[in-house]
Amino acid sequence: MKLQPKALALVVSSLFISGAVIAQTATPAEKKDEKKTTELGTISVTGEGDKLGAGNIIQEEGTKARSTVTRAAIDKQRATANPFQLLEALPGVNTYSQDGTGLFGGNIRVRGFNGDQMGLTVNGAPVNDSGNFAVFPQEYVDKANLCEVFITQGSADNEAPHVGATGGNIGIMSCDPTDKAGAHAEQTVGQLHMSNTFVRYNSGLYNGFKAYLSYSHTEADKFKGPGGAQKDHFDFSSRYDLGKGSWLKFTALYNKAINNNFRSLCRADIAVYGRDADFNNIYTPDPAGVNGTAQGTGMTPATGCGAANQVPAYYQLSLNPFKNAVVTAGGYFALTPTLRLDVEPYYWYGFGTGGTQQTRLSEGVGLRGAGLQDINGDGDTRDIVTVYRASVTDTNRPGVTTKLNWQFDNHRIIAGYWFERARHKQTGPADRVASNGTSENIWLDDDKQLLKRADGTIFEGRDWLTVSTADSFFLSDTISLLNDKLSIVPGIKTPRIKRDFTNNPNEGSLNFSAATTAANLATCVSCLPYRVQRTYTTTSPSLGVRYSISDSNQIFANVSKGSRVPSNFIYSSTGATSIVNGAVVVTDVVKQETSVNMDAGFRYLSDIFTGSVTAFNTQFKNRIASAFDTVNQRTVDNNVGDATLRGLEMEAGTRPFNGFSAYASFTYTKSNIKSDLRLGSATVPIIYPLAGKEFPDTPKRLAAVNLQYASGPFLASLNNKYTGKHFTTLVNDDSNSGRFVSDLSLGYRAPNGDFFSNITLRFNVSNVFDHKYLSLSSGSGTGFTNNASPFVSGTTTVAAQTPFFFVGAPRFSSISISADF
Amino acid sequence: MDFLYRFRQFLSGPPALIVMFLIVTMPLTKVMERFIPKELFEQPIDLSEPPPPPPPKVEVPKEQVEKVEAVVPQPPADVITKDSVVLDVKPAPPEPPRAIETPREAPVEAAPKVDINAIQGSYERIIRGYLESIKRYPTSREARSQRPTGKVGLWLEVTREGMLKDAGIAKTSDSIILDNAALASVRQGKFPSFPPVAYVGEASHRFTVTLEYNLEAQN
Repeated sequence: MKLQPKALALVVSSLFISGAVIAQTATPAEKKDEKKTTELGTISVTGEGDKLGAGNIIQEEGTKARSTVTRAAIDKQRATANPFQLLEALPGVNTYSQDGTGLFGGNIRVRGFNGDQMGLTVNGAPVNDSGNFAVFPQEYVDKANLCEVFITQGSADNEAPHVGATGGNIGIMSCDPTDKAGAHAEQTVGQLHMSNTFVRYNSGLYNGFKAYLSYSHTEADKFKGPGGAQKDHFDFSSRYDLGKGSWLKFTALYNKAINNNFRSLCRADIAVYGRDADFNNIYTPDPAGVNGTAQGTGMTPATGCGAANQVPAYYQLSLNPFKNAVVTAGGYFALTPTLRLDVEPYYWYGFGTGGTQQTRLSEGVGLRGAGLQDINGDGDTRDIVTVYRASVTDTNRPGVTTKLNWQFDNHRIIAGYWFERARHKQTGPADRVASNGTSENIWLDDDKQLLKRADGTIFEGRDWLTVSTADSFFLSDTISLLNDKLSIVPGIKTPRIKRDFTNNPNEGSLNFSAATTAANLATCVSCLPYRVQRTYTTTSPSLGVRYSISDSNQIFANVSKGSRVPSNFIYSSTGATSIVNGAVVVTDVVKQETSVNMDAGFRYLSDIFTGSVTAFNTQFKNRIASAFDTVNQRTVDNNVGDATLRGLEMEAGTRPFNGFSAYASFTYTKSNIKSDLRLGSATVPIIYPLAGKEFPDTPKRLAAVNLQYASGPFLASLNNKYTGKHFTTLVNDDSNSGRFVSDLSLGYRAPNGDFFSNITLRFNVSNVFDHKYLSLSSGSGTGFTNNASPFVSGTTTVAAQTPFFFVGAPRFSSISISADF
Repeated sequence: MDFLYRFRQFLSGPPALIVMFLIVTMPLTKVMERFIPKELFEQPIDLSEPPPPPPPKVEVPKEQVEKVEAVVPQPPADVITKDSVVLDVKPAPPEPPRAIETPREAPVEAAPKVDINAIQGSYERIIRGYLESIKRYPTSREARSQRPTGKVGLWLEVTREGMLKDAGIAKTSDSIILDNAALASVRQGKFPSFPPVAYVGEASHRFTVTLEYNLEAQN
């Protein structure tokens, strides 16, 4: 009894203790039956954006060299910037734009490959000119809607729809519509009367559907010479989520631009007339017509390079009006969680003209008997009259890419088929010029106004229809081994293109340089109707490997084959054609250009710093280089034989540290043409000494350093690009010195107002130090001049073909304000 | 030396630019700081910091300990001397509230000084931190053009030695690209071995994690 309470206490306490014990002893038994899973929570994975290299680099994991510019970097540039300017800092990129705004386009070379040797896609649709693969990205997109631009240097992606890509590919992607509804407006003003107005309305997400519509209008004057640029652009993008990983997409971009051209100058022009020499701002009208006598016969302006008394064309007769519509759609269907079907149709419409339209035509000369009509209306057909005549391009290019994406075990297979049919009509009509030097028909699309021959048919300097039907099967397998440490990607594609070229009789170069005499008609290729059909096929295998040594270190290597067919110019009268026994014969001298590209590289990815180093080696076979022969008015495509490109590309980007972040890239390229070029005839060959020479416009050194400081609402960035010295002719007898150009961007984000939010003020200055430089003009096509100075080959003295340059854009400032509401 | 002279323009440019850049931006930001409210200057997000630790699991034991103490009665003063009372009826030393589970092998022994849940929690934090450091939004052409977003529910089974035994998708994001990227990011992982007291009795332990993929906000 005495111990009862104590005992009770002990018993009770022991109960509790043993209760706990029971619970605990039960646990091991439970453990055997049920596996305890520990929930680690949610980890949020976001693209790096501005948090790495100021938006100029992302942490790559692929098997090939690739560089990306994200929205964060794109945002800091001027509103009118064209895609070449956005890519400027990336390794391997040698680019220039004709002016600071970017409205006039420019040129790009990557690892020595010209823009027309690279495949360019906008939202997945190929936008290289279907005839000669030239690219004009400023004509397709509005920078305000761009979210990403990437380059794969040296090798095109296996599933990319290209037939003219030996040098890799460039992709431009528009932004997707936002989930939140709202409007965004931006106004930019700058020097040279530059003004850009942009508005966009986002519908927001509603029942799985979202879309945006935007419009922009831009104008600016040229920095040298009279005239300017005008651009109107509409964008529509929509996305409909079908749920369960399937969705539909539709995008339409429409651009209409009318630009006055910049005049490219040769060195002698600059020496005599200065860097500001451009097209004429005065128009000297033709003398009034008088019935019965010939007017205008003595008016032949001097236009040669550096010529005294040079009379350049009138600026209103050197225009670049162009309309483009790029429509892409896509159906992405998740058939099972591991199998997806993508169907991506696209359509590209382009219409316009370029170059200098001012020229003189002789009445009464031409085909169909009496030839060209009475242009000046004086009642006779004896005069030589100034006309507005251009090469008009009309392209309709529908296509579709279908692919299956299948994941099984450690294989990820992409298999598909791409098909497109490009209908490319190229004509060369002419129209009158008013006494003030303008043409009422600058698009040359009003058939009633166009100049006709005596029998009523339209007079044409060229009349070609090229139907290029291209297709390709592609297959690649991403094999993941060693716990995803090793990734092996073999791939194969079979691009094929069938060219169907029809020439309708046209005057060609007759009337310009020669009269329609019987002798001339006998050699006039364009005067005859003919049709050429050629099919080019290649099989392009590729193999890529990536091994992750650790989380931070990767090595990768890849080898792939690319190909590019010659431009359709070779079938034309300006190409490799001649008349044999009254019929046109195409001398199939120009072969497909093929390249074998090898990359090997190392990447370092860490929290503070991401960088990569890539060594590349590209072997070209039958590299195509085209040159415009001003004497015979021919663009001649040549296979300049074999060539090699070797070099090193490095890029690195840092994470922000106390607000500072940086991106830098460096490229070293060694190009080498292996053999001499043999032109002329069999009996009188002309040997151009190209062996051992470097490719023109391929500098040995390129470097870029982008510095950024961001703190709260304030952001400053300074982008610097160094382009090294490069040769300008195939024989390397003329060179252009290097240039160092800096662009500054200052931004300030104002506090949100009641109605407006995201208010951003931005100040951009390009070419801060007003560095004076020249950029080699290659025109469209891989056009190079062969030699700047005459030289002797055998018994022939080969005349000089002077290289032409665009004057580097001087300093240009603009300020913009944008807001959401 | 010739190298330095030949590339003088190239070599002198960048350092000069950096200095000029600093000279221009530093005073400007000092001025800005003075006029602009501090709230607008966001703190830079330091991704190297691990996420805040989950609150330590404090389960039932607190009440248990109190109950034990409460139940232990005061010794009746008349039966035993004060001293002996203190000695005999001394309750078990109160367990610190943090200690929750005693080792299962020795249930009646004194509560262990180590805190299992805290150790397991810190191991989980390490794994989480590790996944945070290697996470990447996929970079293939398809990924960048289709820009998928979504949540991938992953499970991974890690052995005591820290080897990844297996991993798989618990809940798909409906995107092959994201599912793959998520699996790839854990498969390459090198995990630390379990602390001896963590997940006792298990040769391997299963974890689940959700990876939520997004691209940066588009204006």
